[in-house]
Amino acid sequence: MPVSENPSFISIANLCKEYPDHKQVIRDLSLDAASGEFVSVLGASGCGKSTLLKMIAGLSSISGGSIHIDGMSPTNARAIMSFVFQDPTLLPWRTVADNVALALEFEGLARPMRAARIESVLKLVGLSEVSSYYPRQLSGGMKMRVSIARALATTPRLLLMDEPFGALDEMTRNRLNEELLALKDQQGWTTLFVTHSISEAVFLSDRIILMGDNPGRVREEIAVPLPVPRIAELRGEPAFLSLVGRVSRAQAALHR
Amino acid sequence: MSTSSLRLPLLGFCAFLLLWQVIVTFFKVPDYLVPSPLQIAALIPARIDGLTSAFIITGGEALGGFLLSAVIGVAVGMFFSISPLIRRCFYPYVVLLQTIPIIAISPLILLWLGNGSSSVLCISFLISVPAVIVNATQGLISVEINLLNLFRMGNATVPVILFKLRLPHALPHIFVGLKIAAGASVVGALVGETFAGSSALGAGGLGYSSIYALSQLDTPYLFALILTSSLLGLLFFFAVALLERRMVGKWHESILGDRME
Repeated sequence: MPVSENPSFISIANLCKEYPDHKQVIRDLSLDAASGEFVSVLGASGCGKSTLLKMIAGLSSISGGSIHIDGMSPTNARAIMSFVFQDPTLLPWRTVADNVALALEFEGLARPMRAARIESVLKLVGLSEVSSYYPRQLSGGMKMRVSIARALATTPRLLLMDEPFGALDEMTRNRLNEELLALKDQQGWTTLFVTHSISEAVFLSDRIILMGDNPGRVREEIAVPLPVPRIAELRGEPAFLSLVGRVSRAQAALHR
Repeated sequence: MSTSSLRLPLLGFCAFLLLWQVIVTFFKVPDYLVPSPLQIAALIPARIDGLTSAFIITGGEALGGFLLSAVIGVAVGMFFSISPLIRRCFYPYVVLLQTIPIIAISPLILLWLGNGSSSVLCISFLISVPAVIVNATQGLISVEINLLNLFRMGNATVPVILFKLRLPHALPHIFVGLKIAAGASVVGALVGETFAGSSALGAGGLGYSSIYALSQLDTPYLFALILTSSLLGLLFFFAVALLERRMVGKWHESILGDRME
């Protein structure tokens, strides 16, 4: 996969984040990502990886340094990015289709044009049959799929994902990982994916960023030169397993 | 509830009435103290006109008080949810309002609004509004942070967040408040009438008629009035419960849970 020969799509330089009580959460963090790249941010809980994602989305203020997405500031870039949260964040009073519609309402898409877009994006994630269901009637994995469908409905160029599959069982998580990559191959967005699962990060990413804590910063970058497209069988291959081992050792070294 | 689950409670009620009838007849309890169920039942058709007009007067006052607390209560909750500053300044007083016995201020209301329905409506409103404000506010501000973040990512304006997120999220809470207010508004109207009376002598709502019946030692009619008042309270409660079922029944756990049993 491309490793930023072209000017980077996401450019983060010397980023700092300090809470009002002067606690430093992130110090001097620099990070670039090329267009179409899948970058995972791996780190222990509390290392500031979620905060990093929120700052890129303009949901959390910046104390120092800069963030540019395709040359734009975070708040200006909201039109081209979608955020997938830890929990599915669906509105329980709206049906699956109406939950997806919410993103299009924000975008200002005219009502008659919404239906076709909702239908196509629900088909993409395999949820056409349940479009009139309410969230409480769905399983955890299905709810997450709706959440992803809503994020993709606006055809974003950047997808920010904050441990989206953390609450799911391993089988569901693996299946959704495979589906996510297939969708990405079709649509070609850039992804910043926060997780604490090493095997998930290796399976999905072109590149893994290891974050250390107190304060949060980039400690190591590991390229993932595994072949694409990645399929379920990859998880049993020696190349995959040795990379998982390498990332584990690197992470363990950080906490020694 | 299904008809079969109603059967046993109904049987229990009949047994209670029977016991009452037997005790009153057997011990020869005078009817100005405790009339028998049969006596009350016989009285109702004879004085149905008085009961109906009292029912309509009190029902109207309570409905006015209830609707006013629903509208004002939710509106105040909205202001509280939009501005934490306003909330911090005034919310404690709403909680305090709940602890003030409204009876204590009713003489003032009489002074300002005079005898009759407008005072009664006002008392009914004051008794029922705090429950709506407190529950609406709790519902409106207890929105999950990531749902708010989702709306912020969509550059949603304050009114959009209010009407597309906070208000629907708060509906189940608002209905908790409305159910309390439904009962309270009837109590408020009855209590209000015992203070504010009626604009015409001898003809008034249920509360006024009760005081009047008491002064005449017309105990059987007093019992009929109590029965009618209970009916009014039940009617209010079930009307709100029905509305709740229609508005949040499809998606909210509390209602769906009942249905599964």
